[in-house]
Amino acid sequence: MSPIELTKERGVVLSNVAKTFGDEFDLIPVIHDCSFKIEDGQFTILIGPSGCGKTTLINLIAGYERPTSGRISCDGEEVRGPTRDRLVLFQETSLFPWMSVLQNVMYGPVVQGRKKSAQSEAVELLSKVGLQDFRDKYPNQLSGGMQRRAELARTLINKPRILLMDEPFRGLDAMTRQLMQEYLLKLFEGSRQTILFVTTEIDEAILLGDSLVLLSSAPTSVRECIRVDLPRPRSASMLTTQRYAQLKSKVLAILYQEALQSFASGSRAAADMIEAFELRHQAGEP
Amino acid sequence: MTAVEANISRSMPTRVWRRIARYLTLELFLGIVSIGTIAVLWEFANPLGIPVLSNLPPLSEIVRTSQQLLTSDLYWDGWLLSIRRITSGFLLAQLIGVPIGLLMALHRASFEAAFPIVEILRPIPPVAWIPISILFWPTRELSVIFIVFLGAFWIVLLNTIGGASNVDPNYRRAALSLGSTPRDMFWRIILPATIPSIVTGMAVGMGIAWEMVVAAEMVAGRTGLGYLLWQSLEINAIAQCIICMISIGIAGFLSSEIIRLFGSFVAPWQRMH
Repeated sequence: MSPIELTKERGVVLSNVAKTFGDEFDLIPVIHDCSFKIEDGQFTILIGPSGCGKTTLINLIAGYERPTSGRISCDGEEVRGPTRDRLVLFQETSLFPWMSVLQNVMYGPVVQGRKKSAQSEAVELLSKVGLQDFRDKYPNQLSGGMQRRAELARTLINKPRILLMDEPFRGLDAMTRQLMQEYLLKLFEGSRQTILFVTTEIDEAILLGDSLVLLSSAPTSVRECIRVDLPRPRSASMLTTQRYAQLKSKVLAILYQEALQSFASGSRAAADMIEAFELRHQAGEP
Repeated sequence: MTAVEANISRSMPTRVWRRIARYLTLELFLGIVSIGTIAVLWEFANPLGIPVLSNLPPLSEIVRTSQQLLTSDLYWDGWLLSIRRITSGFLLAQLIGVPIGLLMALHRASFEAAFPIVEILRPIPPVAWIPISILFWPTRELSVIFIVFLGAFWIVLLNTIGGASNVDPNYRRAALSLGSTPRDMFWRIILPATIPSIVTGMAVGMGIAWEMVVAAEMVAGRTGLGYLLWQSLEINAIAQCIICMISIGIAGFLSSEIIRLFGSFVAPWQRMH
């Protein structure tokens, strides 16, 4: 191993990442200068107002899109496209509906040419997420929570360096959501699988995360990073502790400011309209 | 949690069956009542003075005539030949339409090159092709098959293009991240994701194919159910005419059932809700 490789920075690092959509004369800046680090074995949370470009950040880190400027690196190597080092759990289920649950979980190993060795591992993973009796079902025969867990198994069998979760529990009912959070906590605390988790829920963020990256409204930048120093293993009962309340009010204050700002920038359109209306009346039209 | 889920999966079939059973009895009852009503109205249309229906011979006469027709070779050959034409034209349309559709959906240059031609030719109703088809093809048989082919071709082409270019981008992304080669992407993701659209295209295409075979046989055929139908007009045999119409209806219904079965065979995940 060369000395350069030894000094490689572990984990995923974003430095001055910006992303702009649109053509030359109609540019829409979505991400404006984002820098943060996702440390190995840590549960990192991205939280921010809705529509602030969190999904775009996930797409950039996964390698589905390239940043307009700045650099994203994984273990010191620049991210140039999707690989199985960085796997995404999407907002909507992306289980292949034409494959059984087991076939879905086996998809990665099959296309990577290690079908035989992965078979027993797939079965084991399925029982770990409580789906051992559903391996031959199609995804649309499963409930929402079961689909999420099947998808989790499909990513975990590939042993990704980092698991990117884009609001994975959105759309689940409150009970299922809580169950899924408990599953994920148990899984993380057992394996220390590096996770980047996007959410808009403050409770979920503090319950799950080791560090919170608070994002500004679009164009997105990092507003603040907060460490969650609640002890592990965690459980929902921590939501009533005083430390939790402190953290929550801190996060809430920052997000409230961000919301105010996006509201202020949103109302600019209304100001424009009033101005145009007044100008027209000054021109002397009846 | 697991116990609850296992319980759900066990009780599913009984619940589904119960629902089907209830649905069937009501449906069956209403169906029999409505068909029976029409049969009675038809039979007694003349004494009852019902307009339109009273111009037809009563149902019992049709049934009597049908015995004669249903035992003739002419009638059964008609079935056989029409089915053969449908099968050839329809299968050709799938064999050519599906690959071209996939190519057009996945290869930009092919799409740009072929799309103008498709858009010029597609609005021409297949029936309008009958004259040139008779002139162009050496036999009448081939021209009828060609018209059937055209009837099914455009719809399967468009459905394949639509299906293959609207594959959920998250499926592609997930497959890409998990290490798919372009080959895997085509055979394991895009093709299966397109199958439901292709089957829909087949179901619609089969309907059009039957319309086309009847029209083409009327104009260009010397045999087949469509020809028999036209011939009954020329010899003024209303009963034969009606039997041919009903036969074509049954044939069309059976064909769509076959497509439906085929669909649930190639896309089993679609009926598993």
